[in-house]
Amino acid sequence: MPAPSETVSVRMYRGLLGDCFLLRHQIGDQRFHALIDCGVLQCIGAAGAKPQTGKGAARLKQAIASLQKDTRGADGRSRLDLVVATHEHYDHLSGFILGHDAFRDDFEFGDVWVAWTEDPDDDQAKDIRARGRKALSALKFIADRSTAFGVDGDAQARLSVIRDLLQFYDADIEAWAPEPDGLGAAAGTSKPKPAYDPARDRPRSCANAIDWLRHRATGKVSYLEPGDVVTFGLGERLTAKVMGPPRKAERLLQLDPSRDGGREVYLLRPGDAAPLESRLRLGLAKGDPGLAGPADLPFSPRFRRRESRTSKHLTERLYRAKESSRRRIDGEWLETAEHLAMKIDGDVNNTSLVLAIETRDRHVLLFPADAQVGNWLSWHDQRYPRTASAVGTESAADILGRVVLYKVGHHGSHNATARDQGLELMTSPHLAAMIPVVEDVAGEQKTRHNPTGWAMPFRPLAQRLEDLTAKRILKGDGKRADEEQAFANSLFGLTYAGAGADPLWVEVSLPVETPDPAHLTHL
Amino acid sequence: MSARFRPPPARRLRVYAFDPNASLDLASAKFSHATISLPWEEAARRGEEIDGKGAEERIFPGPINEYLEVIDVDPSSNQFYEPIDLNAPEVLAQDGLPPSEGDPRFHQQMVFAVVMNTIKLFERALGRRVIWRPQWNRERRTYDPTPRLRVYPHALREANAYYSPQKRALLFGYFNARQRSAGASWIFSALSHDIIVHETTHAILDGIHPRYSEPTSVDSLAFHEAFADIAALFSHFQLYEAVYDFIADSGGRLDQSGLLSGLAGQFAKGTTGRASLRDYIDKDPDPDLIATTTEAHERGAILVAAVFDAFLSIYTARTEDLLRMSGTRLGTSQHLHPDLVARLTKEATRSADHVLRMCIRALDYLPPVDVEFGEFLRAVITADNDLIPDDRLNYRLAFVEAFRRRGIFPDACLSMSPDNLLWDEPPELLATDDILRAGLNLMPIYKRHEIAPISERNRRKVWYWLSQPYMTVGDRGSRESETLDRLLTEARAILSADTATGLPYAERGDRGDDDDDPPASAGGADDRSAVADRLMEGIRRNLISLKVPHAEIRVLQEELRRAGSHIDQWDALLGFLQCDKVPGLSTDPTVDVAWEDTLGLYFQRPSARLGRNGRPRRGASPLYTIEGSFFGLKVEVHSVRTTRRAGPDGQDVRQLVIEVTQRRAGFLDPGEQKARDEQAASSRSEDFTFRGGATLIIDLREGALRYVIRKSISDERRLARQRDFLLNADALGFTYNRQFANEPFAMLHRG
Repeated sequence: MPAPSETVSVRMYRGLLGDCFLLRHQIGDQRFHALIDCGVLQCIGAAGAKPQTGKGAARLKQAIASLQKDTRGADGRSRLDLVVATHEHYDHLSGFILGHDAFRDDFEFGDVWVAWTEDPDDDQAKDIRARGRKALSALKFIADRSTAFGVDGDAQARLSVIRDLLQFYDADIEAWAPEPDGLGAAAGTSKPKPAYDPARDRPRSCANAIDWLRHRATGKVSYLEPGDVVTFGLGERLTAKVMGPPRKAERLLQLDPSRDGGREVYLLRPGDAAPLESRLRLGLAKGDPGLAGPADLPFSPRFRRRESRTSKHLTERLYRAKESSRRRIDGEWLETAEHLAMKIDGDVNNTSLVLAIETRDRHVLLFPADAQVGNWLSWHDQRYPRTASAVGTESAADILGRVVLYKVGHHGSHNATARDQGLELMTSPHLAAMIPVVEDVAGEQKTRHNPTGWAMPFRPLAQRLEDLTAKRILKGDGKRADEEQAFANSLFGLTYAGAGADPLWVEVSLPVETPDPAHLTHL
Repeated sequence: MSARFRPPPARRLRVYAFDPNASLDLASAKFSHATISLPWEEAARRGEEIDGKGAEERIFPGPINEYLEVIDVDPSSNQFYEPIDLNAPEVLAQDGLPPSEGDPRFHQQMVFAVVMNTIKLFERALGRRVIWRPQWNRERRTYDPTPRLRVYPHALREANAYYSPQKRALLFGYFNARQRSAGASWIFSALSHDIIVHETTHAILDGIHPRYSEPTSVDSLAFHEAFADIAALFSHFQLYEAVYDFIADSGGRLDQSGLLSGLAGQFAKGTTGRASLRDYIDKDPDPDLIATTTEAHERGAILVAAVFDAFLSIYTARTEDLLRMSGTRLGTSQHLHPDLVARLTKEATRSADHVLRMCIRALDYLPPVDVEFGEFLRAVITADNDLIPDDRLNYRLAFVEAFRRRGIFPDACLSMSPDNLLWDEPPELLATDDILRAGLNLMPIYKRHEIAPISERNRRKVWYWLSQPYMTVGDRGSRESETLDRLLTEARAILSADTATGLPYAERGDRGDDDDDPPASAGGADDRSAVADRLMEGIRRNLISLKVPHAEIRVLQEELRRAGSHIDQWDALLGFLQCDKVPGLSTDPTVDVAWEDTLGLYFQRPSARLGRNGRPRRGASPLYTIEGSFFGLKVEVHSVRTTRRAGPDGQDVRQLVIEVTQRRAGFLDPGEQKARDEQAASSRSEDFTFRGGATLIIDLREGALRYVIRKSISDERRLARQRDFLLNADALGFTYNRQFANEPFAMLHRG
């Protein structure tokens, strides 16, 4: 009897600006399925303005139907032996909201892996979540009141940035509400929504989705820490090395390249939402009574002069003069809000669970989710496994040197692939990359900062990836013929769903070479 | 009728010497307040309008004067604050309101006083008035001046402050302290002397070199930050009492960290808990650090530390004899004689003043784009050499030494000796007398409100002059050629006359000392056909004597009337002259070629250029990435300004500084760049803008071109460097660029 062959394959669902990956471990006819994220970017605003983005939800439902079919066991039920939820972003978890019925009725879940930042009993994690929610509820309050800001173009542009970012957090965030005594405010004090009950409710948000997965897991729910080394798969023959998210606060909060933590002042620190809340208590517009207390204003009321359009005062007339309207600063405080929004977004990306999945023949598949710079840099802060002595352990650089498949972080954006401490360490000649991106969709996400839409993938990164992989790159909107040509004679087998030009998924398979194939028959 | 009083010599205003925190500290409380003396400005009369005649020499509640408009609106609190009237008796009688955090009117007073003081400091060193970044008027294709910088003392609730080039405004934030050691619950950046000077310096520098705000290399934004910190740092040494105290405590030494060498103490304590935002004593400079430091503030810090080091050497050199005479060794005695402390303080103050002036004077000696630290060193040395040829106290050597120790080297310099660092004289003898004959108004101007329109007129005249090909009729120097020159001079004067209409200066177009310029029409911009008629009137006689047929003159007039802007009119005139309408007119491209080489930019496609043998050069790239019109490639004259500086021994330097630039489309992919350079593309897309150009310094006494400080547009190495810089996401790169393009000068970049 010939020894059965062992393969590891990774399927990327195409046509999504979002991550949905199915990892299959196969020995002979035994299979193990792991789902790593399942989501697509939400279409905000009129679908007409973003026709490509609007197609995302339908495409994701097709993907879920395909998952259902291809993971079906002998008993007719689909089984995912492992579900990995990397972080609470809509483009990674919305499948569990949009395709809830299918997941609820037809799937069985084994183990669930999430990052330590999702641990409900972890103090540091609780603190991070509470801080984020506080800021989000203030932002939501502002975003809900777009008309309060008049027609100032700058203000509208800033609001749209805020609204775009809130799309990742959606229904679960309650708008800020002032406390009657004016002493600080907390989300939901006025009309608290009942807590989410996974046994009864559909998930409305990404946080709910993670709750729901935890509830449905028939196996173990693991909160992974950097430096953890976990075995899984058939016969525990796969190893996951957990590289992030970091525990160190300054790493978690570092979003952009080369910002030395010591010198810069970051926005999202405890109390960062305070000026915004103060502004909200003061009322958003004229005629809005507001609920400000004395602590919200820096000066005594006698210096105060209410704005009035008919004022004769020179300074006010200058300020309101039509010719210099572009020099006014009414919307500047919204910029604080806008930066806060971007900050929150980056902070959540940095809580991404980063897995380096290793086969028995020491090939590594790297799934960094949307980790940003601080997360990438932190991989080098510990050994794998995490122990005090270096004996028998590896460094992050050792692991990166064996990466043969890189799931490109954050759809190929500029700040989610570290260069010197990351990509440049992936020196394997077999390296291939998968970028879950649809350029047309990214291009539709136009904002003030990005008038031509999101730069995904970021061109310089894409170019460097092409060099390092000899063009072995699979994209969510890649040209099939080009991809097939690039992967010819590579380490990987390449399969598509069907024969069409825009297949639903693409799959790379990696044969695992093992010194004693006979051993596999005993599994 | 009673006798009039003479106006008082100065208006005195009290401020915090450092910030409110320093006044709480027992050690610094005795010198925590300072009084700033500003030139007296008349009080505005009742009902007087700010844009009325003569109003620019007055001061309005706000305060608002000819440089500044302090507008105390606080959008985060939904309110305005009562503006201060600096002429109220209660204010006048006590040198301004006493320092107080709780009264917004004091905040207005302090911001106003410190910004004005900084302006005056720059004006003394520059030898001319400070003007703000003008606004490009797209419709009229000209720059509209910005008479007053706007100052918002309570613009944001955020631990930040910035100069906004777009709004031409200083925005100061305030915030709740996060650290208890800051000693206050609210911290106002508008009460930090250092922050005010820092942001004002950004605004002044941006007015001189608007292109420095573009991120073109690791040095460009860092230079802005560094210069702003240099100004803030050395302004500490104007505070006699603080310096005296420091010197007494340290036994005469200045190389100790402390209040003098640190910036923005309260701001730093309130945000990060550190003693100062940045401290510029680096005991042990590392010459290799500069190669690896890429964040703008940090890289700038290396430059500031170098300048501070030069200052310390100069202070040491100036005090050597004093210490010898008194038998003191620096830092050994805790009890110096008070007279000695006073003398040392005087030397410290004077050294600081000299160093700061050296730095400010260097601003005119910098290239118009993409400045590098090494170039700043050369500019300092050259500017100082021009004004003070005999460097008895070795100031220049002190600078060179300090820069060398931090690894700041200019490119392509033979050695680091001061005479090798001087900018090169222009390589070829180029006649500049015709620039001076281009009809520029080079009279020293004392009234600030007259400067902006005149310099814009000069700027346009230089642009017309530069964009015209070298033309002669018959021989050079023939009577016809002179007629042609007169015609062009006339045309330039008429076309440049419509500057600044519609602004407060509108009615002052007809000033007596500016004979070249006929009065601006009341309609100004929109009335191009009136300008066309005036132009025809002015040049008709010359056209006739050049034997241009009447029918052709009528055609020209129609064409000029149809043209949409002054640039189109000038193009139309040049086109007309070159199209065989003037018998015997010929152009000589070799003169342009000499200028092209000197300025590092192109007036004609390089591939169309003729070599010395008169045949087109082979192998030259046509550089289609430079935008061009029918008659040549687009060139911008950035600014034309005159300076007048007096040296310590009665030297009197009068110069004309002209900045010329050109833009070229840059592409991230070198292959695409090459393709676009060589092939005219239909679309105007580009990945980034690459600029080249030169600063010309002309000695007005001798009428000679002294220096050309050049950044060539065809410098492929520099282009590659800018590309690498933009691609390097680890540096400032595109992340930075995108996010902060609007406000590049934040005190702290929002991470």
